Amino acid sequence: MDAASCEKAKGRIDLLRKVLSRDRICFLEEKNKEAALLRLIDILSTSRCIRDKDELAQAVFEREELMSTGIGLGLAVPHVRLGSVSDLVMAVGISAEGIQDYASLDDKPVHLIYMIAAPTGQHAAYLRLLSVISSRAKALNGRLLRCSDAETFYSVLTGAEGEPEAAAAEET
Amino acid sequence: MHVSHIPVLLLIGSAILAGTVGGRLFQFLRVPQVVGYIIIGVVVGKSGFQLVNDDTLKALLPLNLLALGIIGFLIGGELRLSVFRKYGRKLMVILLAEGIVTAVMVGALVTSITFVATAKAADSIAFGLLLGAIASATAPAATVDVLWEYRTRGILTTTVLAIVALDDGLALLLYSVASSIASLLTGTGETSMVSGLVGTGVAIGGSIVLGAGAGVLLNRLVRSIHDHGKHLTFIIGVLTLVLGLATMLDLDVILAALALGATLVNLAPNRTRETFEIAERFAQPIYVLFFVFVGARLSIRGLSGLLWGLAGAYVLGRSAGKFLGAYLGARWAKASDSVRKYLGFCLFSQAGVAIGLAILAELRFGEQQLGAVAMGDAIVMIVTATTFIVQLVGPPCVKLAVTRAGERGLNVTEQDLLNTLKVGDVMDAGVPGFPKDARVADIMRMIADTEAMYYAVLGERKKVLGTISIDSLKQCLADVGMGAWLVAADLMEPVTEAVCSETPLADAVQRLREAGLEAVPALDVEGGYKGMLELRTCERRISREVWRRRQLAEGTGSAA
Repeated sequence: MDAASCEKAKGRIDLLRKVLSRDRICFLEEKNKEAALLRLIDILSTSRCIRDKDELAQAVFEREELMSTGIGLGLAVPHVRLGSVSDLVMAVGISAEGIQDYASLDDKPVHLIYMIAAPTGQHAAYLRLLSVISSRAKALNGRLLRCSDAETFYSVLTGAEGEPEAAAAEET
Repeated sequence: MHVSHIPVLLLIGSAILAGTVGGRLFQFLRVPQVVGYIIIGVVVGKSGFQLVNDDTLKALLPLNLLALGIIGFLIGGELRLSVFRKYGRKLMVILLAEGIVTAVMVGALVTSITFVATAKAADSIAFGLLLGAIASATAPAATVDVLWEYRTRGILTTTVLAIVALDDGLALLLYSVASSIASLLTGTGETSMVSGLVGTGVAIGGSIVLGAGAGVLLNRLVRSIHDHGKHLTFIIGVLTLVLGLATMLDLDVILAALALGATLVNLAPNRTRETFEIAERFAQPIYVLFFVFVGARLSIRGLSGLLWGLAGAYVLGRSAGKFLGAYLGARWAKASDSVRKYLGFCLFSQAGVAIGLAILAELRFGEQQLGAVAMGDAIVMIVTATTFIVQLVGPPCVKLAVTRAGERGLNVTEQDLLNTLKVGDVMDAGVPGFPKDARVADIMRMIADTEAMYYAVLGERKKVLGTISIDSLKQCLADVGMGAWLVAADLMEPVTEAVCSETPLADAVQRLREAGLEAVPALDVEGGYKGMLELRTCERRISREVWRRRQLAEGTGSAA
């Protein structure tokens, strides 16, 4: 793997570590989409980056009205860009039973919800994060679902396992 | 109101403003602006309300000289040696033909009418010779102003510029010969023909030497100063110096300025292009002033029946002579069709040199009686009255000629096009707009055949919500699956600027550059989406159009 690829992979992991903290990873008891999203909005709002929780909630549900953010394979990525958000931030909800009514692309229940909020001025970083989440969540889906606590989940998601080139970089 | 009570600055300011308004009004009526300037002058001048009198006009003479000097300088800037190497023989044939045929026709007509009226053969011939020689002069200012106004380029334009530039010299020569013969015929001769010709030769040669020397000096100054802002100071300084010296030494002002411009452009063709552009921008208000005062100076009061008849014959003979002479000259020189057909229309204008020569004739033949009037007075009155007519008729004829020759609008810069076009002329109306819930995968499919870099996201009633860039879409290529679950609203950047399709393009481009944007949506008058205006596409289209017009001008040139 060349140096440029290693650098890119490391950048992706750094981005995840920057936007996600262990306390914003939760195990969901909620059974339906609305309740699950509200719970994640609560958790995301604990970040100082979120300055208006109501606006966040409104934007999340408006986005769901356009099209469901259930992307298939048990994953959902609700995402919004708002002027009241000061920096990129993410919360993760893990549902062992799955959210049945999420209306995913493959009509299967959603087990992992990655909720992302971005400021309007960080368009490129926001798109990059969506791309990173989409690819890593798919790659690590099985392992992430087996995590029993937030610490492990964080380690797996932000670890080098999903990025072989980054692992090589970290070893060196 | 008594004229002498109007402060000169107030007069200058009023003349520039009123002239500009008159010019714009005539431009609106599709008549060259110069006609508007002159008409305003006529209204306030000696033939109109007489708000400007001879003393004021005399006081403003240096400004007129400066205007003539700048015109000469700019025409000189068009006289590239490469053009003369290519068309030199043709130009000389055309010049001699249009000048001599005009002099002969006017001379014959004026002599005949005067002889019928006075029955004095020698005086009639002398009078005819003088007016014939004066008639050969063509005023460059009004003609060139029309060429610049309509941004012409091509072989007709090149020929007109060269002919009006060289015409002064020919008129001086013809006048010198004519006045010497007239002196012999009328018995007022103080100088021989030989000494008259020598004097003219010295004046022409001296003007060229003075202008060329100053051109070398100006070239050195311009070369050593890299701050373009300071070039104007040097241009005006050197030009004014040349004009002052030419006046002091009794040389030809226009010819000296022309030699200055021609020397400069041929010493450093590329580096001095901007120098001439700076001078042209500076010249605009001076032109307006110059033409307003040309109009103000024209007087047609006190013309008797015979003089009106002679004036009519002069105009007819001169117009026919210019037209026929240009046609024959172009035919003998085997010039292109457009030169043969239309050059004559571009040579009707008459002003400074003709009036100057008429004043010289007045001084020399003031005592010679021609019926009830002195020959000198008759010449001044006829030349002034006919200048009045041809200055109004000349510019529209030039416009007609360059339009028919297809040379209008071919000499444009990118900025000219920006100033004349609207957003709607260059925006890409074919760039699709997408609803905010359109899937990115669908968008990617739909834009595959378009060249745009930005796309609009639309709400209700085609209201623009934001734009999506190709860069944003590229991010989705990292994971092809993303296109299936992202929608337009996810990639959209909110719209901060939009322009109306009717907005002048120059304003829109400036707004884009100031805002650091690459593209903006263009809206219709109701605010609905109409297309995208991309800076890159706009610049490419403008460059292509400039290139196309230049090629077209080269095409008309190659036919010469």
